[in-house]
Amino acid sequence: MVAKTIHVYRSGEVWTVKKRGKSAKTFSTQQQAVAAAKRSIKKEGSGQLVVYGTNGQIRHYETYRMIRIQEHPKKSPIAAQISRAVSKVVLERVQSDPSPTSDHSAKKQPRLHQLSI
Amino acid sequence: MTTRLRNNHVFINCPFDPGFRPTFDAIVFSVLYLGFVPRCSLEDDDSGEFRLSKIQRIVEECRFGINDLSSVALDVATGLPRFNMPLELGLFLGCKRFGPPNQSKKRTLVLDTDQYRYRAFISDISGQDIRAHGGDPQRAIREVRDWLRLASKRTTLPGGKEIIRHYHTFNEDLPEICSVFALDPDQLTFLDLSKIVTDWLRRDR
Repeated sequence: MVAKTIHVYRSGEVWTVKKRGKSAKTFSTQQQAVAAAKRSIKKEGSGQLVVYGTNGQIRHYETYRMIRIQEHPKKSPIAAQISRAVSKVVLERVQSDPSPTSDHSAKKQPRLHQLSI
Repeated sequence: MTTRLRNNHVFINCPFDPGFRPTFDAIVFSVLYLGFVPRCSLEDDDSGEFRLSKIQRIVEECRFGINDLSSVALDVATGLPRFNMPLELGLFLGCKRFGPPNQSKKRTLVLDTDQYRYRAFISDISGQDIRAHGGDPQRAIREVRDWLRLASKRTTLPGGKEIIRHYHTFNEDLPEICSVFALDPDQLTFLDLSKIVTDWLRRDR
């Protein structure tokens, strides 16, 4: 299955860019990782980006040429807990994906715009 | 005042018994995956509002309606047929026909276990979009997807195969997500299920 979601998360001292079934890439800063993820999505023509903070919760989410998932107008009484649980389970699965990692953290990165996330 | 008809809201008129739960969950997943909002009478537990008033309000707000007549059989315990689903289908069709002009944009899908079974108990609905899922959740996903593609005229909707593949992955994650709250995946409320699917799709498509 071709996954359309790119995950950016912290792994120790580096930031990892990972797509299910593909090898992970690591970067020394979050900005570099996010920029690489965005380039990858644009290259493929569509996708969604999920950036996790150091606490494992989502800090930033955006879609590019994909259908927007709509929220129900009525809120679940446990909506916040659900969001945390779903993030935890999905992130653990992504992190345990056995594909190899390539290290980009030591390479010189192009200058990037600051992201407000 | 005319109620606003929401172009991406889908009224789901289905049985809510445990036997139908896998098909119901698959329909909810499919509707959300395609960028629509599933609505049903279970979304609101306000006991101050009569059940029928609640259904009428939701029906009026939804442009699309998925009506599953699978459970129009004799109830084993009472020996009587269940009429809720045909009644709500009638409300939807009536709202389209007799409501204010904006309601004429409504589109209806009728689902059943077999393609032509309706002829034996509700033949007046012939001419509507009637499709069979055979009690198979995957088939229900395909039927809902194909119908919404045509009814909404949205050409960019993903195919049924893609939705089914993600639905399998979702079902693998669901028990673990529910275990965080010590909940039974088969007993999630409609709003909790919708929220879990929404958040999951925003993290893993």
